[in-house]
Amino acid sequence: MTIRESMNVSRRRLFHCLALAAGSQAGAGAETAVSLDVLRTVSSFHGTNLSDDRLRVLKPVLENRSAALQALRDFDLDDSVAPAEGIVV
Amino acid sequence: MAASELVFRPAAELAPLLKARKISPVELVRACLDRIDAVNPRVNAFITVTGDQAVREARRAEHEIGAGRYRGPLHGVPYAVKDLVATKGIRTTNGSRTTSNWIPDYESTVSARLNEAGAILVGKLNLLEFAMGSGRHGLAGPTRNPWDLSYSPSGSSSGSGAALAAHMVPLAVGSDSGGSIRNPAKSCGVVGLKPTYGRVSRFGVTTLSWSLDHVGPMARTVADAARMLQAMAGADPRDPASAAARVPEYSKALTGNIHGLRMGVPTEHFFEHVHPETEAALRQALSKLRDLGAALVDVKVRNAALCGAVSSAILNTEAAVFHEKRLKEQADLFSPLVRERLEAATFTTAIDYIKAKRMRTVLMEEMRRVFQTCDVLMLPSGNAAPKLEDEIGDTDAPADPPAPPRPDTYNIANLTGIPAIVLPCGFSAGPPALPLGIQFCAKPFDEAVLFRVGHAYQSATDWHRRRPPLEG
Repeated sequence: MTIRESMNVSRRRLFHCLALAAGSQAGAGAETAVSLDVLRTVSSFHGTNLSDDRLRVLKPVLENRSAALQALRDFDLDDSVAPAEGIVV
Repeated sequence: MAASELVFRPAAELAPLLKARKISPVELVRACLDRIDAVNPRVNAFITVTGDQAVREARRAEHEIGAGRYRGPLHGVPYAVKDLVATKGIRTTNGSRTTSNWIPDYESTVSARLNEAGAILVGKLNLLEFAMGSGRHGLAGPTRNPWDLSYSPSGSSSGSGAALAAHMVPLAVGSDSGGSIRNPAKSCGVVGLKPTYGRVSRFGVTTLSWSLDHVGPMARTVADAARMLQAMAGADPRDPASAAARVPEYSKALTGNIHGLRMGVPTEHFFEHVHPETEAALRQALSKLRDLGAALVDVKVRNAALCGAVSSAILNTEAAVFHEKRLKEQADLFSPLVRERLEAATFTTAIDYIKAKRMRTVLMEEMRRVFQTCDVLMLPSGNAAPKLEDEIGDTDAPADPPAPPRPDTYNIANLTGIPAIVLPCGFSAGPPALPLGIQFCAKPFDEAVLFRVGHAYQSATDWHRRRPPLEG
């Protein structure tokens, strides 16, 4: 797939790929298996355009991190909690 | 005293001898350089040794002290810095092929302040590439643990820890974004302080993560670390993140008195994956501290289990941003592990990153609550050092068989900005017998209480006086 071809994706397919790559369908504690095709689409959308060789290297790393990342995503925060900028003394 | 014996003395013992002109800075610097010549080929702690410059500076210090212009307890004392600290006119590699020939035309604030205090730079220390690489592979090859050369000194301030343990220098500077001062301090049996966020200027120190980077002193004694921080700390207009908080007189904390001090001991999370002999050494250290007058208090740090994920989302993402141009133009020059980590971080979403920063707020409030119930929080400092061959190599991909999980005891201090110190508290049974460390944390800008506890403990123990079996 050329870069131009990969850019011609439908909105539905793009959002599906982003959601899969972000592991939003994973249960807490479970790794998310993700296809090379998804990673290729996301990398193209992000503008990094990583090669398939690089994506094959990254795939198991990203899958391995998905469970911990999902635990962070699942943590419920009150609306009043702002991002830390500096430290609280 | 024989010149060769000088290298085994801490700076606090050398300072009065230098001031009284019983030893010369030139003699001391040459003793360190001789020690480096003898030992560094095996340990590989130094990337660059600035021998000629160090001797010139030592002569200047000798002249100044002789003329009555004594600058203070670091005057004439040799030190070395992690090789991501910019030193004007001296090669600064970051441990990376991408910057292997970089010669800065400016001086970092931390080395400038140590130089102004009269300390004498003798060289640049080995590290994990950009403070995030492999302990097995790097520009200058791996540093080895002086306690057993087939073991890792841990990182990323690997050269700093090893140089101190091998008595090549009495003082060293490291950096810490997720344990990179404290882990090598533990593995090498020395003292390492990650100060409060912003306590020490990061101007001239190569960035790993703007939110989590700290620069700090490493030494063989708590007293020496305190004297180093005295010189290093303070606001810096060239580092917007540096703190304007007053710098106290840290030497006043070195009383040896911890009567009534409330020592928090965590009941959850931090002891997970801590080996039984490590836990036994920690409990023995706590017992000693109780004998010295500390009151032990059970403490629960809520949400600590999320520290790893929060740190990863922030640190790797910020590193990827810092290296964005380098990754586009010089990707092949990175080591495989660093390149992998940076590229993987490009998949982190902005929502994940900002969620992680919101979690930092939660954790900071949690630590504020914890320090209402105790003056100091004791934490483990990981297990004894691994063999070099068991350190992470070229990839974070799951190994087969899987690597044993490691305790997560360092990230909480980086994420919340609280100061944390590690000092030796025993040795593993072995063989080989490897150092074990204990960690103490305090509320922001209370490094003094860490020095008080650490100095009291070192006054009652001798772990820090042991020498690795390097002679002969």
